[in-house]
Amino acid sequence: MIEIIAIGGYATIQGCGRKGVQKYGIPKGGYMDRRSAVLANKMLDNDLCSPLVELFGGHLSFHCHADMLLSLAGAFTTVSTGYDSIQSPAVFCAKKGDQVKIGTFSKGNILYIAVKDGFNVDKSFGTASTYIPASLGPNAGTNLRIGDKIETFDCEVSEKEKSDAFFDRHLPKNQSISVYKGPEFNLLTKNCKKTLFEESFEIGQVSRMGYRLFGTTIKTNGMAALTSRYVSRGTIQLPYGGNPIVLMSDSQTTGGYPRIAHVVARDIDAIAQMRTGSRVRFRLQ
Amino acid sequence: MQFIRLSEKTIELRDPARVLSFWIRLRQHIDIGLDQAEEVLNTEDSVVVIFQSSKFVSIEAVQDLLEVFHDEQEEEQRSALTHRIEVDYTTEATDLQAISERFSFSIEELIKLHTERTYQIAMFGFLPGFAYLTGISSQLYLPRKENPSLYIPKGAVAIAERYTGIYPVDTQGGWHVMGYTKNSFLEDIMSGTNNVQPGDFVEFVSK
Repeated sequence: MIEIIAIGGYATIQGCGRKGVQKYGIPKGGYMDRRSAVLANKMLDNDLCSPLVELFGGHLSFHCHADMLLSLAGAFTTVSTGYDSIQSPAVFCAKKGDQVKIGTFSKGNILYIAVKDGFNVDKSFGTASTYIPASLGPNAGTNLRIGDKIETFDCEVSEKEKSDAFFDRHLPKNQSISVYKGPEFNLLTKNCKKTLFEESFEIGQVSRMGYRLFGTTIKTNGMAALTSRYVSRGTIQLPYGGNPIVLMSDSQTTGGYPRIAHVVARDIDAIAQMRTGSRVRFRLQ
Repeated sequence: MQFIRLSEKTIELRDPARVLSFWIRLRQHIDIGLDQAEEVLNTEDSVVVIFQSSKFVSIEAVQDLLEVFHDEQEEEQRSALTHRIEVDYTTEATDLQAISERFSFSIEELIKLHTERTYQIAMFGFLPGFAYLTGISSQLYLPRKENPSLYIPKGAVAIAERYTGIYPVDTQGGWHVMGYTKNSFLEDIMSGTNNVQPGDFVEFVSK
């Protein structure tokens, strides 16, 4: 079991997405940066959907109530166990009584913390993905706070299992994101299309639901209200104010704003790792 | 019918007139494992098919979908259910008084207008388990609020534009609240009984 003793960022327990529930308006959910989450589980030979902790923005400390084998992937950071200092991505052991301290991220915005065999938590709709608006998933469907305890499975840990293997230290690149044209792309004027592909956008507020883009406005001369249609992770929708939103893992299932573009699957992880204030450009796939 | 590829794995098919019957038929094909689809869902004017992998999205897949679409054969279907929902229409913490003033209807008339219709679940969306119910009396058409309320509690029964619906979770929102219910479609869905589906009917009963 681990117990959260300090938290500065925003952490939830996540797994793979829910299947077959979007028809009820329930988001698919699941990991924000799938590539890094899967890597964290692979590093421990876990099932790829094993529940892990997803930490936005750094700063999390927890107390280990048992010996355990952990892995880190995603954002770059330094982790201290009191007697050891580890650079992510890494596999490392923690002993009963250790305090694991995760600091500031030097690169990226989301870190995955996995344990051998996954955290032993409740599931809903077949997954441990937390979805706060409907209180779905482990930890009473809410984000991790000081004092929260997360169960782990018993495992024999020896220093030998600590791995010095070279893990992929490559975070997805984020300068230029490939997109497909969205179904309502042609509602944009020629100038708006030009703005979308020639200007850069600044990442504003980020959340598991979506990333807002500021800095450049796509000025439309009032578009007619649309009937609500399907949206999902990767959809770029354009509210009437002209500041696009890239929908992420906890995206609602329908939306009434024009869907101007859709991020290609392999580039969504790259956007997920971008921080507020960084800039992004789009190019047509 | 129009086919639109939304992403690697997802196709949107548009045919406003036949959305629900097509959705129901496709669902059966998927339930019996015929297609490589992970999920089929509907909005008011489209059916969306999400495949398990991009490699299944092919001309053949589209032809299969067309075949199901044109298959007029009546298959055995789960017949639509009617869900009766008890509502406490109250002026306490609702917009009932404001709606009454806006339309110059008495509160009793408003309740009658809202309870005398049978609504249909056109689609789910916006919030988990939120059903867009169509069939509202045109006398109750109201645009969404200009300034959404910051807090609408779970169980609020509300109207906006051509729809009425039940808020499944505490949230903010721009619909006009008429009353409260203890029933929630989200709980039905969570219990896994598949008790509620698009195409089902809903009636509100004044408590």
